Amino acid sequence: MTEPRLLSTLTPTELSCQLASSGVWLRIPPFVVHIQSPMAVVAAGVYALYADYTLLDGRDCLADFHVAVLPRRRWFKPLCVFEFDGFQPFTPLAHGEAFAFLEWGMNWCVTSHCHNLLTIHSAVLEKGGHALMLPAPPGSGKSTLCAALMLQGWRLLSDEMALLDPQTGQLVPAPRPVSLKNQSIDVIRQRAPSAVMGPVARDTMKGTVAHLQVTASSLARADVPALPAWVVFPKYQKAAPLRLEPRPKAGALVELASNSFNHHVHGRDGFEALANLVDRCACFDLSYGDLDEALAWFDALEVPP
Amino acid sequence: MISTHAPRSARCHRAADFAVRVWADGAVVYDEADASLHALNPIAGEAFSLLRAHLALTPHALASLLFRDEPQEDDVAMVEQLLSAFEHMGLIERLPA
Repeated sequence: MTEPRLLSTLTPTELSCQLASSGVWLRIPPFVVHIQSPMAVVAAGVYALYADYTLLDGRDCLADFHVAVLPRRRWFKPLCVFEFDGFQPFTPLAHGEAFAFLEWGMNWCVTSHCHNLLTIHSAVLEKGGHALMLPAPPGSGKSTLCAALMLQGWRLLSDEMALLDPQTGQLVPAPRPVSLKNQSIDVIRQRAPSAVMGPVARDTMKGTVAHLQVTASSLARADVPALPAWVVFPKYQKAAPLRLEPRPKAGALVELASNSFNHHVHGRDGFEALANLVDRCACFDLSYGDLDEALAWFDALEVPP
Repeated sequence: MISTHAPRSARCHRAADFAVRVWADGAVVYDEADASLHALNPIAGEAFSLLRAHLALTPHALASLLFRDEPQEDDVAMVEQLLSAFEHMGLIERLPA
């Protein structure tokens, strides 16, 4: 059996040329994505953050998603558009946001089209075979926690979306770069100066955005699903002491359902799958002001009976 | 104040449409008709489970089952409120007295 060819076997120039012409077919577990873009910032981001992903031959595989980020010149300000199968589902963004647009666009592809799995807006990590879900709205510190936990040895399954297999109850890994915003970028840079980050997009709707490379150990086990053991709803509050409260199961289920993009598509089976997930997990509300204190709490989590 | 109206029974007329998950700290009802979820507190969860298990119940009968004793007037009043809420949520219907 031949070793998979990694994207890093291409030089930056080869990658740029290929992205600008026929595109690259990347295995971004559990999907195959065909990416095209003539934009340098997209090539730089893909090269920095997807170097260790498997490069596929487009003649031998079917892509789940065909995406492109293309420049659109305007009189005052250069823009870019995201295309999915030649269709543009979003209004254009600034040129400098092109790589972030690719990431956001790929998230949309999954949440809008992947209905064999239940998709839930949540970070997912794993340790000792047990998965931790962190469902939370923007501004809650979810991605900062997620990045710090990953850098501390937890396996990243996803920063943005939990993919729940309703048949098995397992969470399917979809490890992609962690989206960091504003102060989180410096927080993580200070903790891990050697961690690889992609292009920085400034003045986006979310503020300043940069993506953090997935750890090699997370990517190496991207085919290994995990059973959920904990659901933690985090909330960052500046200078606040660590505070923990058990979340009632009924409330946790309703909250997870409200964070799900497609539980309604799965009907009763989707409800049962979410209820089974909540049933097997310990559920908490966690507010924290000190990242190290929170990380220590996560590392001491006990597996529910 | 005691109502002079005859008590109206309640029944879960779409029992097959619902999936319910009950925990000690509450319950969640899934309504297949519109994929909506309803979070219920523990008492409401138990009351709804009883309504699903019986053809129809008066407020007094439901209160007896819930509190496992001859209900007090305020118990029945609380159950009556609960039934109104269930009716409003489309979980049950009230039968003519």
